[in-house]
Amino acid sequence: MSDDRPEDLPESLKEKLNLIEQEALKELSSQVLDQKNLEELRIRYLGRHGKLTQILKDIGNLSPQDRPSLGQHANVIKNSLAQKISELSDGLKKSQRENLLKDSHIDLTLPGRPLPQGSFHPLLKTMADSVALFKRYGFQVAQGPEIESDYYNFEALNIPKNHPAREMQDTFYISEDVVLRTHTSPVQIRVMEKMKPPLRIVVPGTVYRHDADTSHSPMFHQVEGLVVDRFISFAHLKGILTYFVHELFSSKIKVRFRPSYFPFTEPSAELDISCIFCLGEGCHICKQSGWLEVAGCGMVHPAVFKAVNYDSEKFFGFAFGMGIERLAMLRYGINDIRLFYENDIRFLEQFR
Amino acid sequence: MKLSSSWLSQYIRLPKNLDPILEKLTHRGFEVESVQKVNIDTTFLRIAEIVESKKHPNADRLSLCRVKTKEREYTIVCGAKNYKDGDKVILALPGAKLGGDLEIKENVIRGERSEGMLCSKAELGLEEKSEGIFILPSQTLLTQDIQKVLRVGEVVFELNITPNRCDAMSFLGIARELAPILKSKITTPSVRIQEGKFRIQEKLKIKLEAPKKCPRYMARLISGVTVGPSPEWLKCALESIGQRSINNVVDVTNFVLMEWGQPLHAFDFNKILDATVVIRSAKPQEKIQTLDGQTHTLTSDDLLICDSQKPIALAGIMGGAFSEVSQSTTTLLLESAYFDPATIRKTSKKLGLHSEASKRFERGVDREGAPRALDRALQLILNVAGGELSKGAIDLYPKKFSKRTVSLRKERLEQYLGYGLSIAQIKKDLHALGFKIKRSSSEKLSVEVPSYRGDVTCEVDLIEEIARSEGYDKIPTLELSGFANLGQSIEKNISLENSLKASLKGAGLFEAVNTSFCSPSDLKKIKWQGPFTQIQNPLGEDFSIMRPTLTPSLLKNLKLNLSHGQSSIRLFELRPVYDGLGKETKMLAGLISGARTKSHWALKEEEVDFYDIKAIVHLLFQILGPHFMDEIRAGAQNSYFESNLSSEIEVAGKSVCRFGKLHPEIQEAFDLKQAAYLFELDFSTFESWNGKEQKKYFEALPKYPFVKRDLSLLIPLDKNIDHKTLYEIFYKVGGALVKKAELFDVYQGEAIPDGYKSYTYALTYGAKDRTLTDPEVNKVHGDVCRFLELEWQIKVR
Repeated sequence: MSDDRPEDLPESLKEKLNLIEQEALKELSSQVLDQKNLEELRIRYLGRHGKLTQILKDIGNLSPQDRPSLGQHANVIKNSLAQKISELSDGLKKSQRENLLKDSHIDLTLPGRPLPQGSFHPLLKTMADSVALFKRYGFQVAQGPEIESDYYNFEALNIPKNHPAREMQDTFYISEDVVLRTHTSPVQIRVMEKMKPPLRIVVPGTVYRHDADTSHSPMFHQVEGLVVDRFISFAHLKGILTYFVHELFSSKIKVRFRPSYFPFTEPSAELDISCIFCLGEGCHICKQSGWLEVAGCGMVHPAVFKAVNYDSEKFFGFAFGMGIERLAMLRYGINDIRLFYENDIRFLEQFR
Repeated sequence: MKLSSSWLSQYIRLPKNLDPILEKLTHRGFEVESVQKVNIDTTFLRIAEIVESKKHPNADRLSLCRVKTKEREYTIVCGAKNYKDGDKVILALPGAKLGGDLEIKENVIRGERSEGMLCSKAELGLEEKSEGIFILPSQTLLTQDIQKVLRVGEVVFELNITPNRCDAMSFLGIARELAPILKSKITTPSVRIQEGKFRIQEKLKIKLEAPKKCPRYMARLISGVTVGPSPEWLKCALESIGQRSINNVVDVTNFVLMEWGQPLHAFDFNKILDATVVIRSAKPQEKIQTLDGQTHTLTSDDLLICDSQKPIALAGIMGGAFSEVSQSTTTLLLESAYFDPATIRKTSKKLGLHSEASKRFERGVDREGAPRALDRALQLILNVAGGELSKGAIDLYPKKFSKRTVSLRKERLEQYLGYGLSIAQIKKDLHALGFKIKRSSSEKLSVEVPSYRGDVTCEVDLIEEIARSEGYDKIPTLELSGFANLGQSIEKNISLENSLKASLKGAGLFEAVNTSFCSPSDLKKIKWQGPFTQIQNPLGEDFSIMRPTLTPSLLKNLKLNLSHGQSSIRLFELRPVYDGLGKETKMLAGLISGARTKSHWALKEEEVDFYDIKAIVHLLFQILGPHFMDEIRAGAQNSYFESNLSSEIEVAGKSVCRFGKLHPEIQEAFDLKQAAYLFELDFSTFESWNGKEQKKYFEALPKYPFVKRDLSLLIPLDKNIDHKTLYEIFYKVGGALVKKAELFDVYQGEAIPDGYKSYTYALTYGAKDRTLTDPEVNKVHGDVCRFLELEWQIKVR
């Protein structure tokens, strides 16, 4: 097509270019623009058949010496127009978006659509958290039956029939020689019968005692630990339980070990922690003593090793047991043990 | 055990402030359970005598008292009634502050002047609650030091004595423990008794027929005693630890029991037939009435003290009513014995009869201490009740006690405690506790155990003695290092358990923990037919069965939550259940009831239905193995589901999961006001596969695009065609090219011809190795449609 037209002179082309630019700028600034007529303008000037594109084609027909300077000039104009159009378009989009947002008012304070969310029981959560702390030190989880023989629950743990220590653990009987285990300690025996020392186990479980009042439940939970090794002393027992208390509660909590008595450990101890409510000042929870009893522990009694054929001259061991209800009550500030077993959703939903 | 500082100070010098001592007792293994201090400001308090009391002229319930102190007389208006003229009381004068904030002022009450107040024990802080005013002992003098009368400064504390330490269940036992703490010696009471003329052997015969159950039996007689009230010091001592005074003789035996830890028993000798005492096992069905009035039927395991005919005491536990010491008693038989601990414990436990005596005998008293305590009691009885003591004592002690020797290695102590001590220090600690060092080298000690320390039998016992002497605080704290359990795995895989629990939590269910007990009526309500395990000695019938299923507990939880006005309830529990043989398996059960979601502005409120509980079960089987869902059967066999709204999943012919709607009858039996949907899963079945079956392998993602075709079906209702049938047809007819069949619409009603229901599926076709062409998809889709139309008369819309 261009071939049919007479060759334009460079000067007139330049003039044409300038005219087009002026015209375009005028149109872009004078009209009330919207996205649609802006696009029409773009096509009119910059489109494939647009005015400016047309001129650029004509420049292609110029002599090689005129082409560069005029081509450059044309490109500058083209680019500046393109930029102008794109700026205007961006501005339009922005104000359009703003208008849209201004118009779409929703009540942002309405509650979001509900997703289902239950919870884990605080007792079992505390139990799992406790076990996890011991697993860091290489303890394996061991479990055993709740309906247990008298042998594992008592005899093998150095508590023969008619021993006064049986009084410490009032017992539910299924038959004369079958009991509901009163502690998780029978699992110690069951594991030692199967495994060779050295060993480290942690035993979470449910236990039963024949008493019930506002501070006791006939069923409760314990976590038991047992370590048997060649060079293990009471000092290591102190170490692991101190670590446990610091991790579960806080490193600000003080620990105290005081002598006590369990037939299956010797020396035996109770672990007290400084009251986490009054920080040892004395309050009604710690009965003004500043201390709370959280665990029983001690070095494994040689009689227990004898029951499982471990050589008590070569191996030492320590064991500990703690009540999970107690720990959970302290951890969450729960004041009534019965709340754990009522399964009141108003209680359970606080532990999500 | 309760101890009072005034009584305790008879045996060891106590410092003014007891707190540090009590703390040290705790650190030595005697936990102080409670401390009570008598702390009264006596500045404005006086001992007063009631001179005269008469009714208040203007008030029926008040009295007008004239009282005198050592200084002068006062007029007091008093509301109490428990006094008479001449009684000694405590008078609070204006200025006295009682109970912290109550300040006494001179007052006019109903027109009469009151110059103070007569105090009750509660007002003085001596007890929690009082009935009436505090009446002092009659021999109290107005001039006596009120501080002493009120025992100001007295500390009463209670120690938790572990069952191995019977030796510490006495004032002298605790004094022995205090001696090393206070670095002082204890004073034991000196005993000198004057024997009378009559020889005991001529008056009394004792036959020890059960020497195994009674290794030692001692007795003495006192004639001509006067049984009556105890002197004030004795009453005060017993009262200071909360014991009631009975009479002078019984009080002495109780006093010596507390002092030495040796239980004694006094019999009215004249009631003992033929002056013969026989210690023997009970005959089967033999009966005794103890002095608390109860009658017990015995067996040959029980030990009796008898006269020539009948039982006069249940040995070591309680005397018989018949031979009890009373006002008319003139001759006493005083018994001091050592009974076999296991025998006493067995009887006491069986009969549910516990006494201060049985508590000690069953833990093992000091058999060598029997004569010492007997003499002490005789001395005191002669003092407080008079009489003449028999010449000589009967002491049946066939097998003499020999002291135990235990050896202790220094190295062993170090290994146990994690720190070492010098032999000299070890010796010092043991010596301070009454142990005797027989031989010693630089490495080893040979230690003789005192007779009262029956609990010390081996090396570790001595190590504990030293550890607690030095204090557990001295033991270092070391970190556990290295490895254990190498090559020995006993751990169960709990990841399956955890995944299931997490899924249920995510589905909005709350984890419940119920106790393992249930009641016969719970089982009756759910029409339980299966076996179960019973507890012999339950806390009550309601807690007498180890639950064979979790469902009744969850239904009770539902009831509780409904009663709190909760409308949407979702619970699950994963706990053991117990069969008839006491075997435990784990069950996972859940319950949903009420609104599907909490009421919400953007959601329609709907009640949960069968498909909600099914979705939960489906969720679980996504983890357990989706293929198990193929083995689903309509109608759970359990009695507590509604049969046409429940299903069951079987694995290898065994039901492993049941779910559906709670039967309306059961709903009513549990008094539930809304429907509930439940599931029960026999978790142990899956757990025992230990994750092998559940191992999941990755499936390569498809390389070629899939094609989706919708399929809308008109299904004749009379043909009994369900979703599962159709689903199976798609896969059977379509073969490997069918990748997915999703049911996305179920409709019945308008625009659907009568006798039809409409199911609409989206079928996805694809192949692993190529992009399916249109003709290929058309063919397979056409095959499916044709099959449905020809074989099942289902119209494709």
